[in-house]
Amino acid sequence: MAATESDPSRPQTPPPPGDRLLRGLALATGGLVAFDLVLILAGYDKHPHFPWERLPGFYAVFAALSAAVLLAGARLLRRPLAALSARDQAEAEGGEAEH
Amino acid sequence: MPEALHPSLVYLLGAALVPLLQGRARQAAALLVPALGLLAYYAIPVGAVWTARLLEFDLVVLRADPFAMLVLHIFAVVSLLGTVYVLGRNDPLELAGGLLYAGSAIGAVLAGDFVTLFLFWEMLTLGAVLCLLARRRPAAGRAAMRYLLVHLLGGVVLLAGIAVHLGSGGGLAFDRMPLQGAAAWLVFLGFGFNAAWPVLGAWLPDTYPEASAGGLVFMATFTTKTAVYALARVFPGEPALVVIGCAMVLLPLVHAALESDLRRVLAYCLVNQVGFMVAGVGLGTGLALNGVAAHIYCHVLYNALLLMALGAVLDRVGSVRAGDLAGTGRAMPLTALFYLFGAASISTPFFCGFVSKSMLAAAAAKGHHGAVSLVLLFGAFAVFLLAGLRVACLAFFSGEGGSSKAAGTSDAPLGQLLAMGATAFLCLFVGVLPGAFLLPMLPDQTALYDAYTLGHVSDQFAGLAAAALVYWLALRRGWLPAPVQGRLPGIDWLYRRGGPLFLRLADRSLNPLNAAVSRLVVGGLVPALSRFLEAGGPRLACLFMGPLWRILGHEAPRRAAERDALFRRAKSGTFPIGLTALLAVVLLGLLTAFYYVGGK
Repeated sequence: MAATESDPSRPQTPPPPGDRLLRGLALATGGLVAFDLVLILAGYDKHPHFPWERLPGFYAVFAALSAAVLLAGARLLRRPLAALSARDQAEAEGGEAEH
Repeated sequence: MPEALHPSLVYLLGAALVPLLQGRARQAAALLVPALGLLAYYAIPVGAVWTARLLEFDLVVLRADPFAMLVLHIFAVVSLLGTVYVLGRNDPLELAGGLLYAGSAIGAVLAGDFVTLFLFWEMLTLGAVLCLLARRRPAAGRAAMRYLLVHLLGGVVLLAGIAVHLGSGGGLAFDRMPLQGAAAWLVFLGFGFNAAWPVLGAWLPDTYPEASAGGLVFMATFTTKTAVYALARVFPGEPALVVIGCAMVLLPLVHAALESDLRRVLAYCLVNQVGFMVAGVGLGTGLALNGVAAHIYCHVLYNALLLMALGAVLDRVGSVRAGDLAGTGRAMPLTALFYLFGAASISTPFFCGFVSKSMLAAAAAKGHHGAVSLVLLFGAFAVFLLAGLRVACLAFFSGEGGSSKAAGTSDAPLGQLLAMGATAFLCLFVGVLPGAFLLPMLPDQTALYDAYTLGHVSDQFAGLAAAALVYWLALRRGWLPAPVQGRLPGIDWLYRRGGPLFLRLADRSLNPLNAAVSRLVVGGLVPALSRFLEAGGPRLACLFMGPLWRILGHEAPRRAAERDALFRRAKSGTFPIGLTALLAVVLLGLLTAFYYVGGK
């Protein structure tokens, strides 16, 4: 079956998750950060190579920041990229029409 | 001396034979070929070296050291799984393309010299082109042409490097080379085309989504991994590769976050993952190269699984664009489940990607490369969000829609489900038991890494949970950027826009210059010169004879007639013998006079 153009009226993003999923994730993140703190307090040696690895919950905080930076960057660049894309598409359609 | 059949030959002969067969015979032969290829792998002892002579070159057509054998193993496994996946369509182009592609990649990986490497390297391109053409639509044909052009250019650059290397007495050995001199840089860049480096790699997200469902499984497996393997062979520990690898990890992420074609999202994520490998090659330690080898193995597996699942959606629904796929998860539950296995394999503990990425991260950390460690960590969480959560949500969990294209479709056909199931099992098996066969296959057995420590596993789970939490929160609040429906401009935008701009500039500057020169030279100078050469001599002769005739007392009408006659004769070069003799005497007299005058 050939691919066809998508219908812009259809939902472009998945439906928002329910509260239960969000609460579960928040609980899991908090629990794992607490577990990390317990490990550190219990003297568990994670063989850190960098000072930041000694911070309790570093990986959770870094991952959350990474996700936020990625999504913010994508939001920021969406408008110029979409504008360029639309211009390219219009020119391509114009070129095809000429042919 | 060879004691078994070269694995590459099995695939290449199969690729030639399969299109000649029909129906079930074709399917049986197509399945038999990768099965035999896998058997050929087991028939080769580690450490075997096979040589052959071609013209004046002594070639090493097979060098079965541990690194080559590891890559050969995963290529053989995925070509078998990929063939099972495409078997149902029974498309001769797709089957032959896949086998040719696998045979070429395996030949390149086993090569021990640059000539053998180059021959198989170029054949890779043909396999990829067949996989693109197997989609059988005009856009795929155009993508195949673009792919061919870029890779031929890359091949020429590589060939130039090999030729300069040979010419400067560097030898044929496909082995370590310092990045100094023209030869090394050309070989480096030649590999860079296939490894999809920034600027050189725009072909990957451009062409991969145009391949057929199964064709893309082969494409995403062989070209970039062969290039990473070649880089690891020739330029391990080259610092430039760390920078290039980190750029590859970061640069495609925004595009992957905005792209609406989900197979193109995976193409961007593939570049990100190849970036991990390239950076690992640049780190160059035993652990880093083990990480590269392990990540080639694991990424081939889980990337094939992700693409198989999306390919199944493409075949069933007819689209893999965000917004077209509402209800797909309900219509294709097993495919969705297998996609989730692939997504988990990216970096979740107990799946394969966690094992290999941990090795690369540990290599960067042990080398005290703080910035590289953070880039790899950022890239790992980002690709989990994009290839994992974002694509899974858009492809399979986009809710229900009355006008959904997925309405009324069923799950993937049995062959595709079998291939996906087996690949998912391998992703899990390698992740849970890395010591069963992945770790013993790694090239440096003195530099192994145990990813399964309590601290590392809990850190990884904490990171994934936190990243997922931010993603869901953004989704809940409506902060997720909506996918861009058109083709996102990448680095190729520079030359797609720059090319026509250059043409316009050339048109406006060089063409007027050309016209002016044409007017001056063609319209003015050349005709004048022509006229001079044609009539200049006769006019000079007339000028010289005019005073003589006047001294001799010839009347004006006679002088005019004589001038006309002389002009005609001088122009046609026909003089009476007497006049010619007279002129010769005059010339001799003049020469004699000049001689004496000059002598004094």
